[in-house]
Amino acid sequence: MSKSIQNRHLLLSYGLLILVALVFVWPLVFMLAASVTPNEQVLARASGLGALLSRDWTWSNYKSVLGQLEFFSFLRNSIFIVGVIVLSGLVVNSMAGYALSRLRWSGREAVLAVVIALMVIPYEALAVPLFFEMTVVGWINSYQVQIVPFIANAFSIYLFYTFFNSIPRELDEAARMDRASPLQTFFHVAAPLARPAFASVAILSFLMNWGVFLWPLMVTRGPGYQPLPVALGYFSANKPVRWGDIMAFGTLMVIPVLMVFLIFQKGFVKGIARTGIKG
Amino acid sequence: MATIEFEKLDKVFDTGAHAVRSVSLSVTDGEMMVLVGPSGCGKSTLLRLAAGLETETSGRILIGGRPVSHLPPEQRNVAMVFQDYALYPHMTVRRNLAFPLKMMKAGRAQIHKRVRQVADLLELGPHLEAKPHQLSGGQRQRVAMGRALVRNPDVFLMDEPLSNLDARLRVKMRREISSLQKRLGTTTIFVTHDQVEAMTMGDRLAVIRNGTLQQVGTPREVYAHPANVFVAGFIGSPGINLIRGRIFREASGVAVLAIGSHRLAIPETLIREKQQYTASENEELLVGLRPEAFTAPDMVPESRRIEVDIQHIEEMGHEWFAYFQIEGISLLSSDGKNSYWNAVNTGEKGDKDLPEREGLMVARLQNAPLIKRHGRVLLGVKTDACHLFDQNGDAFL
Repeated sequence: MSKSIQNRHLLLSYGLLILVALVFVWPLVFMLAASVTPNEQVLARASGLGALLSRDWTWSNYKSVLGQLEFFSFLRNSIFIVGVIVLSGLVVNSMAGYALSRLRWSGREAVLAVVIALMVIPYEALAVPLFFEMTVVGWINSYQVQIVPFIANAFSIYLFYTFFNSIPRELDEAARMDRASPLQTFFHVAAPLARPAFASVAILSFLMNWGVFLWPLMVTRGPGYQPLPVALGYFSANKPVRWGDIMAFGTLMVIPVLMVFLIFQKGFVKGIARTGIKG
Repeated sequence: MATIEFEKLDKVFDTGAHAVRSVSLSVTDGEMMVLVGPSGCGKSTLLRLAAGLETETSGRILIGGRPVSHLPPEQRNVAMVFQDYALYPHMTVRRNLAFPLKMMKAGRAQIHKRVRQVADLLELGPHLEAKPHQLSGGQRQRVAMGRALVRNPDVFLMDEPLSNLDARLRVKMRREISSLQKRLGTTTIFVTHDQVEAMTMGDRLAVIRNGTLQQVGTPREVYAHPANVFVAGFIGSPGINLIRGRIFREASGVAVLAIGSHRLAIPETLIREKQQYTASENEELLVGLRPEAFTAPDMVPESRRIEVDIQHIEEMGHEWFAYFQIEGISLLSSDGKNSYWNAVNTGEKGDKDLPEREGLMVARLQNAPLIKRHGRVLLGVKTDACHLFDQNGDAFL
């Protein structure tokens, strides 16, 4: 292949890549730009690149969001709820994954099948029966109603399960010969080696739960226990809709996600570097 | 200290594989017992049964006279060295060594002391803070050993611990493990598929084929008196020359071994042994001649010489391996992996012949310079050193 044809191919593929990237990045860029655009001008500029080119940037949307609504109360609720889900989820799901991967107990295969089946059932299908269940328990409008049902997660369990499967069985056997109980083997041998899995599950579980809107809307009454996404909903309920505020709010919501990702990504990379070692 | 006894041990896996068949074996206190056999023969399964990592289908295991079949590994006070070492990759050498003690809830000071002792014993002192991936193969091997002996177990179980090392290191570690085991006097079962390792390390060997014990004895016994053609073929390097032959008394009254059209005089004792086994003069036997059963022709009487066709000579410096053919003679296979052995395994003995195999016979000679490098020459045969087996492959005495 001649050099000029090669170059043309390269140009074409990069052009295509940039185009696709723009499609994906556009909403995010728009959100950032709109968050610093005066409220009344957001929609006017939405159709074009005007939002980006504007010079009259303002922090007033942020001021309005942080002042007018109890933003920090919602943020605290979100961090608490998602934090507890993620942390206890790491413990519960990793142990479940380990038990499925390593321990031999009757019903193991059936449970594994159920876990896999649960992954394909959409959460919306479970919301209504779960709502009735929570009503019976009397947990409506609380933190636990937003936490407890989401700690155990089929996808996380499966991810841990497959990861533990990839750790050599000899290590477990060595630990057994060294008189470690299954629990000790888990904490001293399996879990430290499963750091990449812990990092992935932490990131995924955070992402899955941070933006949840439907469930908290169903089970909470008033701002006391509500997380950020529900608060975001309040904006569109008040007319006229203040798009600048919504975008500023959205931007503020994304920041913790980025922080969590950056923190755990480091662990993620480290963990992967470790798995290359043969004992 | 501890003896280990296997009593009529059987292991059938869920897949239906019958890995261990009615094995009875006892290992005396302080002994190094080597389980040796081709890969897949069930030797590792036997070891894992002793460890408690597998559960026997039937039979009993006693350690120190105590039945342990119902006990989990952690209650058997045995330590195991794994083929891939199974060091904990995220822990330093120190923490790897300390791990068994920590699990025993030993005190801090005691752990420190024992780790120090073991590290000194195995010359791991400078590497205590290193992670396994920073160590060489031999050092990892020593850490694995250290982790096994740090808590003074009654029994060491070693599952091909040298197979990942290069040849030179393997020889060194072979010696180190042997002398360490002698010094500590800990009863040890050592699994290997390498017959040289088995011969050099074991106080006794247990040769295993297809889940069944073929022979137990000292390296000398197993080499000099193999119980069947499999053991004869498996132990010894280069391997035994296995051929068909007959033993009878010629009209002149001389006892001879007939292989093809060749006749070699044999000692009276051999023919008496054979007569005890069968009165039939003409029954064909399997004859095993070790490479060292051949010699320069002038070392034996004329009646014990045979004409061979030398194909190739290997000089080893102190000895020579001569590869040759004898007219009309085919080598037989004793590697245990063919239809003959299937017939033996299923009990349909005798109706199938041991298959012939490609290849040359081999002689180990001390004075090969006297011999032509190619072509027809006479070789002497020490017929008193030949091994005789019946058609089922069993030795008779």
